[in-house]
Amino acid sequence: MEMLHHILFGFQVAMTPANLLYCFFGVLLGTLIGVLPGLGPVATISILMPITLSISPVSAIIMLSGIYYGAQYGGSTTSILINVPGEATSVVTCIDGYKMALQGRAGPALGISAIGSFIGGMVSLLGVMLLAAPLANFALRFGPPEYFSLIFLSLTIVSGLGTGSTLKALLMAGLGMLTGAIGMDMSTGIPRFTFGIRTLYDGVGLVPAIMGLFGIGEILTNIEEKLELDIFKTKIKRILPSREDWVRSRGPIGRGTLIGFFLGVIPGGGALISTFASYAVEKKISRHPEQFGQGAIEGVAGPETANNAGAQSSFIPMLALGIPPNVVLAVLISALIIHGIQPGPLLLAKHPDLFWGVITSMFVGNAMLLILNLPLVGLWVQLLRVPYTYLFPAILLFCLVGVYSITNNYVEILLMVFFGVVGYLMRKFDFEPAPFVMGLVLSSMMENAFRQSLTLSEGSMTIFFTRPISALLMAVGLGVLVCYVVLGVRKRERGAG
Amino acid sequence: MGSRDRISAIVLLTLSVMVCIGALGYGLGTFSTPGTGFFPFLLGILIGFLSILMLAHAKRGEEVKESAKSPWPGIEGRKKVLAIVAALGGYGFLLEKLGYSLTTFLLFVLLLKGIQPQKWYLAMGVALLASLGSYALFQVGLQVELPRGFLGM
Repeated sequence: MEMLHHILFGFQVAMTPANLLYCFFGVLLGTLIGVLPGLGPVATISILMPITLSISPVSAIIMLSGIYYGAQYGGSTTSILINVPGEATSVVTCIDGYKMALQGRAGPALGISAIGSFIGGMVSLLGVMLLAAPLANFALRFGPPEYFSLIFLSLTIVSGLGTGSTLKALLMAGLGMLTGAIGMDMSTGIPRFTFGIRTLYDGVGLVPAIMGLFGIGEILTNIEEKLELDIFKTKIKRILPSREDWVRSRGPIGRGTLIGFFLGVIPGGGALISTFASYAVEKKISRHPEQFGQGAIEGVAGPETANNAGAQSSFIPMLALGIPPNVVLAVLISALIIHGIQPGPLLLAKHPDLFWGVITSMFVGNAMLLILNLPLVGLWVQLLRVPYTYLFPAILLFCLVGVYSITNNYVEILLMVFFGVVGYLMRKFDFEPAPFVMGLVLSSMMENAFRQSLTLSEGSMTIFFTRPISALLMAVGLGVLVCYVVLGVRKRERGAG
Repeated sequence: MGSRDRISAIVLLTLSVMVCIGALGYGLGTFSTPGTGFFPFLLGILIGFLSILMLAHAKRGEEVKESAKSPWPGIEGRKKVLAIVAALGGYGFLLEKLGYSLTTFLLFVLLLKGIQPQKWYLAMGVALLASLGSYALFQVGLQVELPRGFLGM
């Protein structure tokens, strides 16, 4: 009954009036930015990060987490109503969700997304509760070699999960790690690749890099063509799904929860992959696969459930190991660090209020989101009527202020603009920014683990293969790499033949 | 287009060589006490190796990826992209000299007139509203410390 004790403790933390308010503020803001295409959780969390310094770390993380999973709810709204995904994880929802809206069934589509997200999120949270603490306790046994191997494994998986070429993703991960190596070398004090720029002595900040690559890069790509959103002009009648909708959605919601939960734990934007996986599974096992793409409610219920289940389960590696499985959680980890909290397996022992408080606050937050989303859909739609011509300068301003406010240093703005150009070029040359950011985030952790391991073993590389846990992680990582090579060769042969 | 992949592979290969040379300059240290340049050197080797692989793919004329998801824009699009980059860079340089409100006002006028031209009174009005409104939101509401400049805000 120790678990029950922890959960009660968590609720005591999460249910204080202040934390309830921060949680509410977070999920509300999350829904809002989820609805707006182009403004995502990364930029929003970055802007609010410095502001949260004046409140307690627990409240800060509760609010910032709320932004993340709140965005999963909001993202579906635009997919369904205007065929533009508010977030990447809602891309699949466009296919059948928008079709449903065209058929006058926007209400049930929005309703089932919110309900599916709620169920997926809640069930997934139970899993987080059961697994995060044991994993953290297990990871206490990890030394530098285990950490090195774990990061190696994470990066190999990240590179394979993208939509493009694995080779290019690996290159980006390498380039990201290299960017992470810029700055003062912690053990010798020698500045590396700083080109005499003072700001770079502290290393390349995660926030200017992410906002540049994703925020600015995306706007530069969008601005080339005239982008006017075509808003669906209809009254949304009855949000609650009919009995038939319920029957048809039961299976997809159940399977979406499982798919989302397991893929969300995997590094590299598992929540995104889970939406595609869920859609594919539902189409495969459906008795009416021809209805998919024509407004099948299964194609909305499954992926929307999966993305929120994945968003919740991605907190497992973040809270238990200090390793972020995706870009948003990487920003959340830097928020922890700004608050002076060292992420890692010791988090549970040192800050149990944060660990359990944040997890239980997500139960509360999901309930708030369900209540928020159903009646407020109409309001969110109004927001979309702001034309992009006025929206994009506002998004740019948010990025500028967000970057500046972290250190009050204008060089950070220039750095963000630089990464914006890099992000734009990456899109033009078919590279993906996500593995780059993961490399950047994990770089210093990996280098430290690597150096400490070698010091431990007095210079022998075999240390990564002689300790059992490290050897296992390494073996899986190398196995993944071999898989890439084999798959690549097979693809080429098929292409030739 | 294999040529785009070839260009990026060559750029990355050049970069990796430069990184390796730079890393050697920082000193590699020994295996038991790796120096400052050790990790970057390994990364340089890794990136170099991968970009050679990519170059080999591109040489064979193979698409590493089927087709470009976002092709190069026309002259009009390129101008817009350059204009935004210049505006943002200018914002960075001027922010601490002119102060937040004025720089933000200028940025908005530029973006609203330059990208998809709006009427003057609309652009000026929105810019004024945006700079004052955001000042109220960030500085007064959220207590972000913004540079003041000669206007005092």
